[in-house]
Formats: sequence, C-alpha cells, structure tokens
Amino acid sequence: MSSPTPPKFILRFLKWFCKPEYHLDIEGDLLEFYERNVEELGRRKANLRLYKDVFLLFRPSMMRSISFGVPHLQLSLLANYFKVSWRSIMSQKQYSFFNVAGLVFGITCFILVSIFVSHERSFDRFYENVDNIYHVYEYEYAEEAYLGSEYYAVTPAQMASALMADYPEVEYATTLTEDYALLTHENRDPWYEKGLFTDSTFFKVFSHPKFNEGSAETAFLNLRSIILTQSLADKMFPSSGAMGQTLTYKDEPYLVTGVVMDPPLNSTFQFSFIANLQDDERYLSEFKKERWDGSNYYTFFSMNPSADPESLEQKLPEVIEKYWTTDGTFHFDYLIQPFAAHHFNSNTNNDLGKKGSMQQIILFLTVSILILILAGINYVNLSIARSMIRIREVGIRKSFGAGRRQLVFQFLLESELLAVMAFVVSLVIAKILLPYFGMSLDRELTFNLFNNFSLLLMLFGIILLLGLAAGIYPAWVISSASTTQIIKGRSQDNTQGKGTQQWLVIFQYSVSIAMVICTIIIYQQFQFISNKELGFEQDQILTLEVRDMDILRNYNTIKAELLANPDIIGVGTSQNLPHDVRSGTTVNDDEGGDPGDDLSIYRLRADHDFIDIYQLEVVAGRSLPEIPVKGKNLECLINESAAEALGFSPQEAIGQILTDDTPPSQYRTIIGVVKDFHQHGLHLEISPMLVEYRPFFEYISVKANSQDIPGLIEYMDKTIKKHSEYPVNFRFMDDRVNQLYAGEQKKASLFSGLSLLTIIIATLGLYGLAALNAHQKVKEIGIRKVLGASISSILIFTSGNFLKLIAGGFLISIPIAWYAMQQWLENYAYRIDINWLTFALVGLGAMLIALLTVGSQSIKAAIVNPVDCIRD
Amino acid sequence: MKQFQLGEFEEVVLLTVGILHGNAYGVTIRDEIETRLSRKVSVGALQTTLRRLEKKGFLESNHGDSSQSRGGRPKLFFTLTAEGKKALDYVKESRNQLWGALPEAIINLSFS
Repeated sequence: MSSPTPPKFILRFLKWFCKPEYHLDIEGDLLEFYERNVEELGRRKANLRLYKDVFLLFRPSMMRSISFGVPHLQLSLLANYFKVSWRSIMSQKQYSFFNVAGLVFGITCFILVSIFVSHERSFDRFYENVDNIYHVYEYEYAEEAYLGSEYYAVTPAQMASALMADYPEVEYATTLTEDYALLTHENRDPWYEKGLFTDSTFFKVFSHPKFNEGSAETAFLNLRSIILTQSLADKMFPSSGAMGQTLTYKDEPYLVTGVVMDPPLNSTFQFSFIANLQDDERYLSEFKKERWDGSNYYTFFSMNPSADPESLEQKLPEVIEKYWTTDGTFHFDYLIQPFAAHHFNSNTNNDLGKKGSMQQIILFLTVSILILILAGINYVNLSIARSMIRIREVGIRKSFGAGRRQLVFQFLLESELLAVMAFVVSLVIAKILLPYFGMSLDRELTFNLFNNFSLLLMLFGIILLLGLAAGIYPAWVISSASTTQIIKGRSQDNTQGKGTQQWLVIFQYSVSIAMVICTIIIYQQFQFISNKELGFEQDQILTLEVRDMDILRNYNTIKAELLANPDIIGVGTSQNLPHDVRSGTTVNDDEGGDPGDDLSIYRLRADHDFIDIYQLEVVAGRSLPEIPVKGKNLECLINESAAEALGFSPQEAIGQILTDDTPPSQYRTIIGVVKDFHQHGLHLEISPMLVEYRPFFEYISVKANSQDIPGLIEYMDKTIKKHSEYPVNFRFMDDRVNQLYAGEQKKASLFSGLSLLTIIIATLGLYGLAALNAHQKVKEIGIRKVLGASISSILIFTSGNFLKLIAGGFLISIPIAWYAMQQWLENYAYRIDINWLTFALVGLGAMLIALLTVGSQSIKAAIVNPVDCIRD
Repeated sequence: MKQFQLGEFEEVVLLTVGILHGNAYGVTIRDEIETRLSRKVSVGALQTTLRRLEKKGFLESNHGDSSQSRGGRPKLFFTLTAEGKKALDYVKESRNQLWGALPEAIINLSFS
C-alpha cells in the first residue's frame, strides 16, 4: 500500500510543541484523516486540512512544558544509566579490556607528549617582559657554513654598551657568558659548578632570578662578590646562611652578596652561581679595545615596548662600520631575535641553553594524536561490531518506550565512562613513566596535578571529546535499528557500519605499518652510522677535558708520570677531539692573493702524540714534529680534502705556505697530508682541515693497552689529582663518539616505542573485531562444516576479508613512509638508501600478525563441534 | 454531591465515546460527531476535551496495536469509566428533571 506522505515540516512542528505523551496517537489520528482526505478531496485540500488541524491543536493544553537538554532525564534514570553502563562494561570483560587497554595506551602517550609540549612551549616564558627581550646574533655569509650553520650566537664584548649608547629604543643591554668554575669553602671538597657571568644590568633586562637574600642593586657593588642559587647556598653553607660568607674562587676570597632562586627547568639560563663579568680579565681586555675584533659574549637587551624591532634590526649593521676593525670588506650582519623564540631556534652556533625543535614537537604531537585516533577507532569498530550483540537490548529498550535520544545518551555515557576510566589509569601510568620519557628527550619533566591544573583540565576536556567522538557513531548506528526488525529476531545486516569499519581498519593499518617501516629505516641508519669507520682509532683511548691551568703548566710532569705506567702507550694533547673539531680559520695559499680564493678551513690543534694515538694516517710528507718549531713560521698538516680544495695532489701540497688573512698574519708550511677522517660525525661531510701544534690544550688523550681498565683509570685519576683540585673524569673515546648520536638515538628508541604501540593498538582492535566476527558467524561456520567444509577453507573464508584490509593499509602506508624517511635521511651527509625489502618484510610481518590474530579466533570457531553451535 | 458538571461539548464527546463503545478513538469520535450532529469539530478542540475528561476520570484510554497505516502510530482508544457513566446519568437526570418541570404551554409552543 502506498500511503501518501504529508508535508514533513508540519508533523515536525506538531512533535516539537505537542506533549510527548499525546503526540503519537494524535499524529496517528491526523495521518488517518489525511489518508482519507487525500483519497476523497485530493492532496492539496488534504494538506490544507492538516495545516488547519495542527494549528488548531497549537493550544496551551496540548503543549509540552518547556524543558532543556535531554527530556525526561531524571536523577534516578541517570543513576540507572550508570548502572547499566557499568554492567555492560563488566559483562564483557575481554571486550572492555581491549577497549580500555587501547585507550589507556593512547591516552598515556598523549598525556606524556602534552606534558612535554607544554614544557617546551613554556620555555623562558616566565620573564615578565619576555616579549620585549631580544638576543643579538650574527649572520655570516660564507661559502661553506661552519658546522652546518651560518648563524652565530655570540657578539663582541662591547656590543651591549654600543647598543645602549647608539639606539634610544634599547632600554637596557647586558653581556653574559657561561662557564664552569671551581668554588671552595674552608677545607671541604671543592664545588665544580656552572656559573653565569654577567653584569648588574642583567637584572634590569631579566625579571628572573628573584633574590631570596640581597638585591639586584647591591649584589655587584663590589667586584669581589658572587651570587649563589639557593640550592648551591644550601650545599655550601648548610648550617649558617650563605649571605655575607666568604668563599674562594680563582684563588681569591669572594663575598656572597646575594642568594637567588634556582633557575626553573624551563629556563635557557642554567647556573649555580652568578659572578660579576666586570671582574673577568679576559672580558675586560676585550672590552677595553677601541675597535672590535672578536665575538665571544652573548648580548641580550630589553627594548622599549613601543619601538619597532624590525626597524632596529635594519639599523644594526651601522655598528659594524662604526666599531669593527676594518679590512674593507665585511661579510656578516647583526640580527635580533625575540627571546621568546630563543628556545626553538636551534640553528645557531654556540647558542645557550637546551634547544627545542618545533619539528620534533609537531612530530610527537602528530604521532600521539594518531595513536589516540587509532585507539578511538578501536572503540568505534568494536562498538559497531558489538552492536549486533547488543541489538536485542536495544530492541527491548525501544519496545519499553526508550526514545532514540535516550539510547544515544546511554551509549554515549558508556563510552564516556570508559574514556574517563582509561584517563584515570593513564594518569597513573603517565606519572610513573614521565621521568623515563623525559630522559629520552633530554628533559627533566615534572607533572603535578595542582601546578599543571590547566593542562589537566585541557586533557580532561580532550578525553571527554574523545569519548564523545568514539561513542557518537556507534550510538547512532545501534539506536537506529528498527524495533520491529529486532523483535522479529532478524540480526541487522548493517552494511553501512561494516563499510565504515573496514575503512577504519585500513586507516589503522596504514598508520601503524608506516610507523613500523620508519622505525626500521631509522634503526638501519643508526646501525650504518655506528658501524661506519670514522677514520681514526677509538679503542682503548681515554680522554680528559682540562679546565685547570695547573694541569697545563705541569703537563710535562704529568705526561712522564702517566707514561711510567706500562699499560699506557701514549699521551697526547689537543684543543678538540677528532670527532668534534670546532675551531676554524681562513687561509690562502698565496699571500696577498685574491680574497676570493680564501679557503675556510677547520683547524685541529694537536701535538705529535695525538696523531699517533688516533692513528691518523699520513699519506704524504711527515707528521707533526715531536719538538714543535717556535716562532712565526708554523708547520702544519692538512687533510686530503684541504689539498684538493687548494688544487694540489697530496705530494704537491708538501712545502706550500698558507697565510692567515686576519692580522697578525701567520705563515704555515704544509709538512704533511693526513688521510681524510670524519671530523664531525656523519651529519656533516668531511671538510678541509689543517692540523697544527698549539701549547694550550683542552683535552688530554691517553692510549691504553690494559686488561685492567678500572685500575688504570684509578691510577690516572690519582696522577692528575696530584696536580689539580678539579674533578677528574676520564671518558672513553668510543663513548664520546656514540654521544654524537645519543640524543637522536634516544628519540629514535622513543619513536620505535610509539610505533610498537600503534601496532599493538591496531592488533588489539583487529583481535576484537575478529573475535566478534567469529562469534557472529559461528552458526554459519557450523553449517559450512556440516556441509563438508574443511577447516582450512573456513579459515580462508573468515580471514580473507581482514587480510584484504591490511593489504590496503599497507599499500597506503608505502608512499607515506617512503616520503617521510627521505626527508629524515636528508639530515645525514652519510646515509643509507631506502631498501624496498624493508617495505616488503614489514608488509609481510603485518599480514602474519593479522593472520595469527584473526586465525586464532577463526580456528576457535572452526574447531567447535557444529552440533554445539547450531543447536543454540 | 459530587461534581458531575459537564460542558456541552464535553457531554457530546462523552456520549459519542459511549456510542462508539470500544471503537472510540480520535478519528471515529470526530466522524461520529460530525455526521450525527453535522457540526465541524477541530482535532484541537476534540483532543483538549478528551484529555480533560480523562483527567477528570470520566474516560480511560488504552493504546491499540500499531499498524502499517497511520505511519505506524498507535490508536488511542477511549472508554467510559463508571464515573463517566454516572456523569452522563447525572446530566440526563438533571435535564429530565428540568424537562419535567417545563410548563405544558411552553412545550406546545411553536415558533414558526
């Protein structure tokens, strides 16, 4: 029977205003009239009658009372919803476990990443005037960027006073630097601490650190004064207060004139004490120079809030002409950078503080949100699949008069309940994992429910949204089942839900397979790096960083004492270690030649023994002499790259003279050529380098040949301690080399953890789906078996579809992973090629895991005696 | 004395429900009144009155089965309660009483 359909809006209007308890039968009456009227009077008149009837029904006695939100939501009903939700969660423990476990993984990882991100974003934000603080840095045009960057964080010592004098928009400018120093008090062990060396203007530019004792105005009135942080003050002067005490620094008595708060963890400046830069000889000697000739100090300034930073930056190059020692050409500029952006600007040489990376933050946020989505997808998928089971409950609820809204509300409540449960569990887990998580990111992270209340609130909001997002679709699908269909016992063939389910599985697998592929490629790259020969010896070499002038003065004695031990084969000195050559200069092989021919070259300052210890191979000429030549004419070695850059073969290079173009000119005679080695790890390419002797050194390297390394280290410690108060810490050269990649390696292992998580979540989801699928098809399987199907054919029948989905996910993941890894590998000068075998293996592995997951469920269903399952 | 006062339309509706005996729901009641008394009845007026009578306890209602017609909406059948019957009796009795008291002259009066 084709019944005529009345205009929908008028019925909706009726539904809107009419008391719900009257609505249904009145609508029925109206429809009955309408049907009759259409037959007797035609559609147009029937419509008119209907409008008239409905408008005449629009009277107070028919109208519902005004209500907001969910209708009929009484407290008792709400309590009942909770009870039912809880029972439903508990009644299917396995299913709930998979759901909650997936959510817990996802939420935990999201909480951790959120804490990290909020920590990174809070960097240096605690200064009251942070938006007006700027850092002056230098941009140098060079053909070959020094250590991969053309930016330098340092300026001449006089920069701050020049800014104050010449630019009215600069309010205060301060100069600072960081260094370690030895502090002693009475006869106790010395404290080797990191200090901030600056002037009293620092406290005018920066509103932190706050003084616990003393004040910014009085602290540096006297040159011989020092400010301690609270924690160092407590360590050094545990019983008496630190204020007014005297300690020994640089062999002189210094008065503690202030105690400040410890710098917070999210501060660029990290220090244990603040010393007066005006008292520093090196600084004073530079500061006194009329013309600028070197950049060794950091300059920060606060600007008038009304001034325009860009116009100031444009005027800055004026100082170069005005103050710098001139040789006619300048190939650098001064730029300013807001201090608020300082933490994320990691592309500057010699910069202060721990650096963050926006890219990394975005990567981790993306990954954690993806994981959260994957976990949410599990929820959606399992709920839709389970709706086939819960459909009876829905039917009964509907026949008892439950409206769709009530059903949706109930299912939503259930998903919110699960999400909140998962959130609470995740908070606990996150709290436990936080220190380890922080360690792998080189951060000390803390999370306190009260300090991070806003973060917590935001997280909770996101979790509620997640619950809503994950619950709304299943709730909608389940509640839309038609009552009559359910009551008739026909299991609903929800093709729409199935389609969505399949896309979600494909999405999950494309994400997790892509992440696993990336992890493996990252692992391969690290494997490649750690196996690649850097070109110098690393085995059984112990290195000591030297900061004590006493060691330099007594070096010959120390060397002799060390060599007295038969286990020590060689002792050498250098300014840098061979894996991290930082010094550089510019040379020309033709004095007074065209400056365009100048060669930027790294400079390794080392002695004769150093060449032997690291087994640097001399391919032409001879090594550095044991007794260095003195005077203006130095002897040097160059590496093969330098010879090539100068246009010589190694043999031709011998005897050539290199001149330094900055006065005072130095002449270096090339006496030998060493084989190229990786002087900056594998991030940068091998560059031209010269090796020359310098009496000052910063590292002692010791080549050992010993079975008893701990004993040897003890011997060396004792030997050094005889000449120095400083802490002695010998470190293995191979450890130092590994340290080059340690940060990335930690991040990579974190990333692999995350990708493991995605595969677990995806597998959990698949397992749940497969279990439900097998459960639903148990009768079908039974019948197939009765009709003679073999177990293997049943396996194919149940697993085939899942495998197709995973294959789909795999196909999608290939280009994504390939592109991402190409980008990542760009960071390395020496890198692996992406191997297609990796993709194939991961794809195969994913199939295998899926097959096992689905198969275990299918087998369970397949081996059941068909009698048992068909009988029910 | 219990309150049995009924309005005119209430009385009509109550009587019609009685007449329809077991088959009284919105559509039939309206049809019955319209055909028997040839007056127009709006669904709004009818429904308001039905609900009011139900609230007064003169009518009871029960949902019938829903069918494919009427958009699957159930019919709401109304039946007279004992109170409703009493109310009708009371009305009829009081009218009869009044009729009985009417003088002969008036009864025979015709206005042509």
